[in-house]
Amino acid sequence: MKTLFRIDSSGKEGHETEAQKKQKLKEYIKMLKKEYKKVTTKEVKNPLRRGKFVKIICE
Amino acid sequence: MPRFSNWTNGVGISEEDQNYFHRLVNADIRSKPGKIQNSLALTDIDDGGIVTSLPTCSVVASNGDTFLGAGTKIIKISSGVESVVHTSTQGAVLGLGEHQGYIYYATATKLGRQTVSNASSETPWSSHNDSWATFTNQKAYKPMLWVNQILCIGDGNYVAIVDESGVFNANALDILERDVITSFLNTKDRLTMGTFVNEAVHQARGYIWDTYSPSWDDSDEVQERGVNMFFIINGYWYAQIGQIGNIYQWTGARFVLYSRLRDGSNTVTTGINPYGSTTVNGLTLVVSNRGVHSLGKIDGRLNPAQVIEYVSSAGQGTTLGCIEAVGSNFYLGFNNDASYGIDKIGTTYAEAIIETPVTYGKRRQVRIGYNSMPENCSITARIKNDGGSFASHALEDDSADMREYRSTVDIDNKSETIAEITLVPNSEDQSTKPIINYIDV
Repeated sequence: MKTLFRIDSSGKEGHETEAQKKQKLKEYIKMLKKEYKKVTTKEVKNPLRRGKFVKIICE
Repeated sequence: MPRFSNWTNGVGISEEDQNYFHRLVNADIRSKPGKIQNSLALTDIDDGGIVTSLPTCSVVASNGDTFLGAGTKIIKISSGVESVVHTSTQGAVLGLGEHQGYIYYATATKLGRQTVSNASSETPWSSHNDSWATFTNQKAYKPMLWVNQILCIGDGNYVAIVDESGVFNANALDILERDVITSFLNTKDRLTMGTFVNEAVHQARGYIWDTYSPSWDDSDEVQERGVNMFFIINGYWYAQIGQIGNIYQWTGARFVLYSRLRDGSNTVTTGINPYGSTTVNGLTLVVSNRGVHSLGKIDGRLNPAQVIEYVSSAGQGTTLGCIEAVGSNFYLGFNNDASYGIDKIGTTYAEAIIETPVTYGKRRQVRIGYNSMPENCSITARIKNDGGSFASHALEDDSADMREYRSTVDIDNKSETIAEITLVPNSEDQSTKPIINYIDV
């Protein structure tokens, strides 16, 4: 399974900060690791969706 | 003797509203503008009893087949015939959508998918994937909508998407942490989201997002218990919000109170139901515990009117789930105690109920003028005098010189009267119905 996860912040009031998102990403990866043998991550930029993403590859 | 004949106005804001009607049920006010007739009755297609949970989400696939999620089951309706094609191994199916040749189905934790062609051809499905992707927040509402070339799925305060390359993005947008996304609307290629916090908090928010920027474009808040669903009436955007049937117009930036779903003196109860509205031939249908409300107008010169156009085959007071227009018909999921099913518009007529506004002053007679009274059809009446209860009121058909039903006894009130008129379709087979044009009280 390939998944993207946004980690940038727009700074709008109430929006999760980059640090909060990275914390959520950590929890998400922890959850995925229970289901998949190997979970690898790589920070990427997605020109179509604007912003910083982490690409998660689960095998 | 006041005359009530403004049928195209529909239901008003109370029994005092003289230009409207207090209650209209199973009423068709739009097929023959200026007159009123019975709506067609709904009929349960689930004669095999395969529906064992309330159908809450639905999609009509690009090949014409309809798929409904009812508990863990996915039910296919093809040419009017239902069959269970899949039982999810990941819990209840909460959202359904189509994107790039796939039927996607969401449970609280997982996004599953199956190709459209296999979804139709395989019974049961064998080439599906129940856990194609994993959600981050795992909440109980999973609205799904195709907007601006991507499939958007609500996941708590996140919008997950399947993008134009078919890649799942678990967090394409995040909104306020405590908001749970309940419903979506496509607002000219921008995604509108409605939210809910919990059953105690009166805070319902709307967000609009262009689907690609890091943050949303605009948002607004209503002090009610969650956005239940969005719909479009005659080209304008609306949301049904809270527990008592309130409807707000969504301008893309603000929620503005518009109207309320009404059923005379009966309490209308509404809850989160993102798939609870549809549009059939331009007429918007919205479900509540009282039935299927039709909202809208048939001509730009009229005001939008509301009536309860259809009532579930299980009666009023039934919990209604998803409603999905298919052709000139629709499929409607329902649950009444232990009974579950899927209704569609049948071929026989239902009994239409018309409650007039209250009239003040001494009244003697009710008269109902009709245009058509086929064999075995009739009109009955009940009268409520001076704040009391409805009591039967005898009518006779004066077809000899008036084409009118009229009282055979005096109304005998002191100061107030409300008439409840029932249009009874053919008593033999319900295949024909009366058409009336005025009620005089």
